[in-house]
Amino acid sequence: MKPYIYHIAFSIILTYLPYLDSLGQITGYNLFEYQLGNVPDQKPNDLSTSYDQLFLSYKHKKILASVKIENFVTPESDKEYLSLSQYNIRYRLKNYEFKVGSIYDIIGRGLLLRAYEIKGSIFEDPGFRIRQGFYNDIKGFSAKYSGKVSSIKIIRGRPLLNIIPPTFEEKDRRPDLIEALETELSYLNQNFGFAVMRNFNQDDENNYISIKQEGNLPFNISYYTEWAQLIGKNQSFGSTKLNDVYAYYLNINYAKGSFGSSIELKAYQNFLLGSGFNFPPALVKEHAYKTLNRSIHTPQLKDERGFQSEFFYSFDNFSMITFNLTNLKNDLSQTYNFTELFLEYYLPVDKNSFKLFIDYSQDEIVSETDRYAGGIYFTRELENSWSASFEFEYQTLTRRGDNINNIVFSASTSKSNKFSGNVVVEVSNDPVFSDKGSTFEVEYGTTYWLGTNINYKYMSHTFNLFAGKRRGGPACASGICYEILDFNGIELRILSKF
Amino acid sequence: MMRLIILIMIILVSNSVISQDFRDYRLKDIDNNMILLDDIKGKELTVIDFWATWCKPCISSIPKIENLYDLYKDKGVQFMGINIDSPRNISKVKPFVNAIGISYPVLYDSNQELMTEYNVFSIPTLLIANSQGEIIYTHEGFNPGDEKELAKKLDELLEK
Repeated sequence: MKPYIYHIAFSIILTYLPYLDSLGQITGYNLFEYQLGNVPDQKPNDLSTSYDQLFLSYKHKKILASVKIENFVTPESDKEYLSLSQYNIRYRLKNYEFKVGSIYDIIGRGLLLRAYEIKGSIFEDPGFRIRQGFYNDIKGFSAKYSGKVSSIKIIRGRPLLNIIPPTFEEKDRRPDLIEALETELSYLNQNFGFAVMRNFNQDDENNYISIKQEGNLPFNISYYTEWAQLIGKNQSFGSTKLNDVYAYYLNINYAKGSFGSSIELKAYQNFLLGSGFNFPPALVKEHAYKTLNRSIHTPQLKDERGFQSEFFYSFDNFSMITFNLTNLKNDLSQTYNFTELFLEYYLPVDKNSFKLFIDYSQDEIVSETDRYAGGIYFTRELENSWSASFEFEYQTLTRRGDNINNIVFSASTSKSNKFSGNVVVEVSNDPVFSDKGSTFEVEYGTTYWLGTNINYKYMSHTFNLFAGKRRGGPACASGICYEILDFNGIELRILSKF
Repeated sequence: MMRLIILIMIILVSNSVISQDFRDYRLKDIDNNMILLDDIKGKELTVIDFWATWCKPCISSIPKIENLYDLYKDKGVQFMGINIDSPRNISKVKPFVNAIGISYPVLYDSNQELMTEYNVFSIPTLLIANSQGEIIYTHEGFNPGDEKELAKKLDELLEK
C-alpha cells in the first residue's frame, strides 16, 4: 500500500481519537528513535537514521483490536521501509478467547513453540543494518478455553523469523506454518498437559508431541517436567538414539522458611525446529550484570545437556544471598564443556544498599577458560526523592592464550519517577576490538568506551538521550540472546504513551 | 514533513492518557491456580507490581512493597505481583517468592499480555488502580526512598 495512504490514515485516526474514546477505549504508544553515528569499522559512516513504531489498540466491551506500524528512514534507500507489521483482533467471553492476526503464545515452557516480544527494544541485525521491533510473533489465529479444571488451546499460523528484516517479502520472513493443539487438566494439586504440533516448511512436514506434568508435592516441593519429540519418521516414543529429535526438561523446587532452591535438568538433541520458532529454556543463568550478561552461553539446540541449580536465603535484615552452580556439555563436532559458579550478596543498610557478586566460569565453545568476574553495585538514598548509584565490574579470562581484562564503571543519579542520568566507562584489552583485521598479525591494545545516558519523564512521555561510545556484544533479555551493535554517536529515543 | 506532523500530533494526543481495565484478565498464580484478577482486586485500590527475578531494582523494591502491603491491606488496598520472567527463569520464581517472603498474590504473565495492555515497557513498574479497575497512577523504576512516595500516594488516593 502506498506510504501516503498510511500517513492519511494516521492523521485521521489521531484527529478523531478523542471522539472514538466515547465508543470504547483507545490506548497505545509511539516509540521513536533517532541515531546519528557509526558502527565502528562499518561503512557508511555518520549515518543519520530514524525508526518509529506506532501501536494503537482499541477496546470496546469484549473486543480488542490493535495495529502496529513501523517505519525506518535511512540514507541507504534500499533499507527503508514503512510497514503495517502487525494487526490483531481479540474477542474474550468469560473463559473463552479468540485471536486473529498477530499472536504471542507459548506451548509448555517453549520447547515446541514460543512467540514473544521484548517490549521497548529495537532490534538491528549486524548483517542487514535495518532497525525493527524486537518480536517473533505468529500470524494466524488462536482459540482458547481456560476453565478451573481444564484448558484447551489451538494455534495455527506462520511464525516470524525476525532476523529477516521487513524489507523482505512476508513469505521469506515466515517460511514455516504451524498447527498446534495443547490441552491441560488439573487434578489433586497436579497439572497434566499434552500438546501436538505440525510444522510445514516448503516441502517438508514434521509432527511433534509434548507431554508435561507439574504440581505441588508434600514437604514444600514443587516440580515441572516436560518431554517433547518428533513423531513418525522412524523415531519411536521415548527414544534417545543419536540422530533422534527430542527435548527433556525437569525442574524441582524446594522452599522452607527463608530458604529457596531450584534445580533444573535439561537435555536437547537436534531440537531447533523449523526455521527456529521454538525457544526451550536455556541451561545457564540469565545475568543482569554487564560483564556476565555478555558472557552468557548461547544455547546449542543441536546437542546440549546439563543442570542448573540455584539457592537463595534471605535474612531478617532483608539481605539476601544467592548461589548458582551450572554445568553443561555440548556434543557437536567435539565435546565442549561449560561450568559456572556464581555468588551474590544483597545488603540494604539504612539509606544504602549494596550488591556484591563473584563469578567463575568457563565456556569451551567460545574458547574462554579461567573466566573470573566480580563487582559491586551501591545505591544511596538522598534528599527530596533523589538517589545516587555506583557500579563497578571487573572480569578476566583466557581465550586461546590471550589474557583479556574487561572493566565497567558507571555512576548515576536519579529523581524518583522523573529523571535519571549516568556516565558509563568501559575498558578492555580484548584483541577483538584492537585488531585491525587487515593484516595477518593481531594488533593488541586497550579500547575505551565513554558514554552518557539521560532519561527524563514528562507526563506520558519518556525521553532518553545517549551520547558517546557504547560497547556492543552478546546480550540476553527475556530468555532470548542476541547481538547488540557497537555504537559511536548520538541517539535520541522518545516513548509516548496514550 | 508528514512524519514530523504525525509525531507532533501523537505527542499532543498522548497528553490525554486513557485508562485501561485489568479485571477481566486470567493469570496463573505460583501454585498453578488460574485466577481472575477481578476476584482478587482491592475494595478501594489495587496495586499492581510488574517484576522479574533477574531485575536488580525489582529485588530491592520487593521487601518495601511487602511492607506497604502490611500497612495498607486492612484499608481496602490489595497488592498483586505480576511476574514477567520468561521460561528460562520461571523455575526460580516460586522458591524466590517463598524465600523473600512475599505474602500478596504473585501471578505469571510470561506472555506479557497484561504488560502489553498497560503499555509497561520497563520493570519494575508499579500501577495503582481504583475500584473500577482504572489505572490512576504509574511509578516506573525503583530507588531507595520510593516507598515513602508510594505511601504518600496511597494515602492521597484513599482520601479521595
